[in-house]
Amino acid sequence: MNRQKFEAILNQKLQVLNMAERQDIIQEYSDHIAMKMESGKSEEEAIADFGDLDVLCNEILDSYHVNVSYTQEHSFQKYLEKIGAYINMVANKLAAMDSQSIGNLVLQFIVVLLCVGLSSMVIHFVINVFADSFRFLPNALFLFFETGLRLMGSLFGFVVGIFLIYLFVQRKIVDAPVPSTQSRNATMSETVEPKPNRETMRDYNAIYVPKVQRSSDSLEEGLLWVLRILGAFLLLPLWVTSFGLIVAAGVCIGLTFQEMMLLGPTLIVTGIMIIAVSISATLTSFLLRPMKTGGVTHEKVTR
Amino acid sequence: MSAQFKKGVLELVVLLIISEQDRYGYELVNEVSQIIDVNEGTMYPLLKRLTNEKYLETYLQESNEGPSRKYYRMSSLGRAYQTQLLQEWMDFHEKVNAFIQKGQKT
Repeated sequence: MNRQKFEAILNQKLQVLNMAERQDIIQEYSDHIAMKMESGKSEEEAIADFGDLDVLCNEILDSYHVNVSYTQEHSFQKYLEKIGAYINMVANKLAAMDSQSIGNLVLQFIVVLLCVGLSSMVIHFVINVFADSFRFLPNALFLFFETGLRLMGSLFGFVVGIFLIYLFVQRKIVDAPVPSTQSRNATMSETVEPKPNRETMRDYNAIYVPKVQRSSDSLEEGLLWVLRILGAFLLLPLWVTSFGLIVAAGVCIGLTFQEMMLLGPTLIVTGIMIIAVSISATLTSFLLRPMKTGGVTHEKVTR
Repeated sequence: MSAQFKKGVLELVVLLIISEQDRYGYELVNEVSQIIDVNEGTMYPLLKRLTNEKYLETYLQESNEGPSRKYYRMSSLGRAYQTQLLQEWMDFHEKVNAFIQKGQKT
């Protein structure tokens, strides 16, 4: 067993303890291994000297007066704690960034949100079209069918959205290199919320997100391509609408100048037209651009 | 030595070693294992417990080689506890010894 795996196992088995305590313990064992290696032992040997890990972890928990058999039952609580720990870690990472990269992140996050919005719109559009083709069914049956379909669509959209945001956070924040080297003192001081250092951060990743990281490269790329193609289809009606609004605004303005009192409608139509055009323009520019800037700059940033 | 014996004495030994001089974890484990054959892994939970019970305090200190080390220091509470433990051990030891010697004579 190597050290990373050892730390990952400890981290997982000691899940009931809060993050600071857990990191403190892991740090101590990690130091011990390091010093043992300095005295000539191999990493494996040093870890093997700790004996059975289950026994060890139970002993650690015992010193906190945690009832071991009790802790294993509450998996839901563990799960919540995992999510909390994850959010905590993301916040810590964010705190370590400088303002410029945060600005970049915010911009990229907006793009991601747009993608999420787009994907849900596309999903609903597809479902509408699909559901319409079942109108031949008896009315009650059709209604039932349609509701179920919509529900599934919403759920799917929700999952895709969460997944996209998760991918974004994982790639851009969790895996991003830390610009300033954090001193170890910050990790181990007795403050309430010590910043996790990179080592413990890694073993954290090893537990919670083992697979997505490896396969996300191509997966993410593919997903974004799908979104772009769907987005292009969605943009077509948007541009048509914009064009119609431009014409309407032109007509209204023309009529106003021919002394027909249409000032109110003119203002409204013009306003909506401007909004529609700017939305279409923004979306289009995002769709045309993302490979170089915006959502997919991982290559540059993360490596 | 049987595991039960070890467990009882380990705490006393650890406290005695730290009362001599502040120690960091690895150093302490080495010291202890010269006296009692003990699994290294179990030392840290013990230290943790003694710290949680305020018998020990920790602080960080830079070292010449590698990262800074976490040192353990005796608190006044710990000193009192150690004296009490030592006294208990002495009494216990004396009584058991006396009993054994009496048994050997007869």
